[in-house]
Amino acid sequence: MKQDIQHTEKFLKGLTTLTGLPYKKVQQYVKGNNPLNILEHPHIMEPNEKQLEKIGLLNEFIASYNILKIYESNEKVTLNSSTLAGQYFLALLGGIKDKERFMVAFLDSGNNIIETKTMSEGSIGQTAVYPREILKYALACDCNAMILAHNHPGGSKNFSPEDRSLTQRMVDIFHPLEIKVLDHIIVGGGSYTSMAERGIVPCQSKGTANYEEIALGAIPVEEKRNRFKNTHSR
Amino acid sequence: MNLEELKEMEYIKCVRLLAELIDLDADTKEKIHKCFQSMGIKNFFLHLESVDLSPETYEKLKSIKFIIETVDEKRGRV
Repeated sequence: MKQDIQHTEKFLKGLTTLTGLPYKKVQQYVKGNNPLNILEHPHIMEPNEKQLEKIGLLNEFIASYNILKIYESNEKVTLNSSTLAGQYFLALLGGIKDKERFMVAFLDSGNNIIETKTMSEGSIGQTAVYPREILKYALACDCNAMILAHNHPGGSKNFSPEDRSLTQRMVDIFHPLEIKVLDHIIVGGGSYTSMAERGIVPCQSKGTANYEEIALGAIPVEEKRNRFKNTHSR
Repeated sequence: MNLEELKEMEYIKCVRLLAELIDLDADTKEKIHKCFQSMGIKNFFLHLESVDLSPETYEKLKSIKFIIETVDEKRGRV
């Protein structure tokens, strides 16, 4: 407990030194809240433009540091299980709670990562995915397979119909090219869900390849119902 | 692109972010980049006090270290 308080104190001192946020204000906030909220939802501290920019840089640095920790701990980054893929994307997407980001890991025949790219980034509830761009990168790096991933800033780990439909669209495009879509990972609420783990990754094309942009990020139906219930019960 | 190239790209990105975050000059940027390449970013922060940096840069990097440790600890617990 004492160690926890010391950690928080150091965190706050570091945060205020780097961003210019007022110490008293953040100290007051963390009395009843998780200190990480300040990084994940910076607007709660009503920062000015410069402070917001510094928090953004700090978040980017933490994400980059997490990737490097993974790179440094392995000779090769091999995503040969849904657990490894989930942990990998949790490190990359776990801290992003103010926007939606869609990423793709392009893999070789041994499921080693050739390259991981952010393919699109949108607002808190929606992002647009451009299959043409994904195809361009997949062909450029001569990949054998890919793993899709995106975050749900709202914290939901459920697959929305749009998430499933996007996965099918990717399979429709890449199956004829013999590029496998191995998994689709959803990161939300500090954890992840894997489509492969649930056995719902499509393995066959259902229709012809469609390269139109895909809107992603609608709230899963179940979550909508729950939200309504919660509101109603108040 | 192999792992070494990916890692190098990420080191460059990290140094650029650090420079923007704590206003590093060109020499310090280069020094930190070389440290990343030789010992890795994890060891760099672990052995921060052994790196030859100005007191001002050291203090700012120590602030980042505290933040990383707290984020690691709190997110690891989730």
